[in-house]
Amino acid sequence: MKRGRPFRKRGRWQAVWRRFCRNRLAVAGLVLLLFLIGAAVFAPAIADYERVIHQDSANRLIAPCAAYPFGTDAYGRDLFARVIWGSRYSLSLGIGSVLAAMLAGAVIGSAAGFYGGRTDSMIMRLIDMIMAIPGTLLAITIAAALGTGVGNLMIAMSISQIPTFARVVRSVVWTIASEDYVEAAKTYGSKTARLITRQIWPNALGPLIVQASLSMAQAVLTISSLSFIGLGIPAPSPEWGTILAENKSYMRMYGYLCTIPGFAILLSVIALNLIGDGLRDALDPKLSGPVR
Amino acid sequence: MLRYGGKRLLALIPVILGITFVIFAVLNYTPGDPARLLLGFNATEESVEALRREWKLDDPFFVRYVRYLGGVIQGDLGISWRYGVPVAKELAVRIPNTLRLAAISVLIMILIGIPMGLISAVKQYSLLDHLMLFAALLLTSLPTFWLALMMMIKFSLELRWLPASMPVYGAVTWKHWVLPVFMCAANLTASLVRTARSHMLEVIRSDFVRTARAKGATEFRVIAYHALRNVMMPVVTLVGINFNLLMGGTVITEQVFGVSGVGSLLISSVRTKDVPMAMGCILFIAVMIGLVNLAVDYFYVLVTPRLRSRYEKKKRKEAGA
Repeated sequence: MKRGRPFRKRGRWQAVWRRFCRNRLAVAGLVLLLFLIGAAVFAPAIADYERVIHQDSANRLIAPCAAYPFGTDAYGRDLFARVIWGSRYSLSLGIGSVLAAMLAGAVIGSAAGFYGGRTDSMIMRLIDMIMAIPGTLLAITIAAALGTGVGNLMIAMSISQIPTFARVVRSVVWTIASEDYVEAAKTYGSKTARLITRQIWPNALGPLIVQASLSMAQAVLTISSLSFIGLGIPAPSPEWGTILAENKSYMRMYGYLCTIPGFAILLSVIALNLIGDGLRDALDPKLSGPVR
Repeated sequence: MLRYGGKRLLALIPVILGITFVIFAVLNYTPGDPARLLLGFNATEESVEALRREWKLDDPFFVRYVRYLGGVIQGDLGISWRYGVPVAKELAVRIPNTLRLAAISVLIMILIGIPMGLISAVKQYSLLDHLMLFAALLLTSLPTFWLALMMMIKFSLELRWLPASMPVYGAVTWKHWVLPVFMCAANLTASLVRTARSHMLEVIRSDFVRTARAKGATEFRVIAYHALRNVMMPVVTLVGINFNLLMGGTVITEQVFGVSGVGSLLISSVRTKDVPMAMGCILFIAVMIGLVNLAVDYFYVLVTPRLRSRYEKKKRKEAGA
């Protein structure tokens, strides 16, 4: 049996996209994010990696100028190159850890919601247990226990975010598992895995996307905070929080060393937050519009 | 109502058990032998073995967790592996600092965040609303440690109004607390403004508010009486959620400003795998989270006539029987 995509579905996402585009702030956030991702992807073309690590004692602590747009740090390294390359760490870890947590959460949440009964209560008790610990605190603890490093930070960030996504997916599964179209799909013999991927996940997509973009904003913040207090990515690497920690002792005389990397974090988090807000309003247009 | 409180107090136990269990597992299953970490890499195999035996590290995970819990129930938090001092003693020094930080931050959240969010919703699309939303968005998107750095530059280094970190020696004055509290509260207050606003928007669009208006209630009465009561529940829940987040935030704040609180103790003891000390910190945080959530639930029942009557009726029935 050939089953095309239901016509209405495309219409729904088109409507969402149209509403999203009407929100100027959200579009600005999207443009900003694409710009930042572009900087991360094309970092090798923008600034040679040599300039990230090259220490030049003759050119220490130069204020921003034509040759060094963001100036140089105490080791004479080019801050512009470091911030550009830093976007690779911060953005890929922020986005990557959320995607990993989202995938794991979707599998766990749909399994719990779909099978129900004992499986559900066992999984959800475990999720509740982890959820009772504030995400940042769990990430801090895991990161401190594992030690610094990109891989360890990724693990800490992903694990601490799984429960949120599992909960979101499970609540969607609960509300739609008894809907007629799911019953219908069951009746004509869909396998459980197919039911989950074809019926449940498309419906969970809306709330998941909103949660993901807001979680990404939070993740970028947490990652840089962890690096700043020495639990994230270790010193020579150009992660934004790490750069700030390195430059902290020079902030009094050389303010740009601390303002510029901070702005990079701020911009990416604002972009993600704006997109998240825009998506939420686009998916749930109830709250915009004038008061009745 | 008392009965309800007692019941909820019992419900605290699984929360605390859960949190301590997860962290105990994290400490146990991450690489790094506590005995080796303490003795250093030059220590002989025998001395490491001896220490492992002394700490009973070779027992199975569950045995050790249950033994730890047994100690806690008897009021014994154990002795720090690293410093050899009782954990309870060290915590007693640290807890007041963390509590002060958290309590003032929550107060700021409640006294500033909620009213601002509500006003913003009532005056939706006004200049004030836009300004408030912009400020809130900026503050939620700022890395708080960076905000702290910027404020250190401005208020500590340039204006010399406030000290940049806790003093190593000498008395701590209120001035030392301004920047840490600001760093702790800024982010969460701003997010509370945003969420309080959206909840209030939902409430002032609902049917009962329209009915109240239709019946000719003044705008003030509609907002202050009908809408406010209904928005309090989700908002109070939010305060509870934010408090959980705050417990993560204080850890970072303490680390940045050198506050000797539970959070900075937690980080250093997890790093060195000082299990009794780390568990003591987590236990404190878990109890705090549990108590605040309990208070939120209690408040919930208190402001919701539907829930309140359920518990009161039960009481009356029992009195009659």
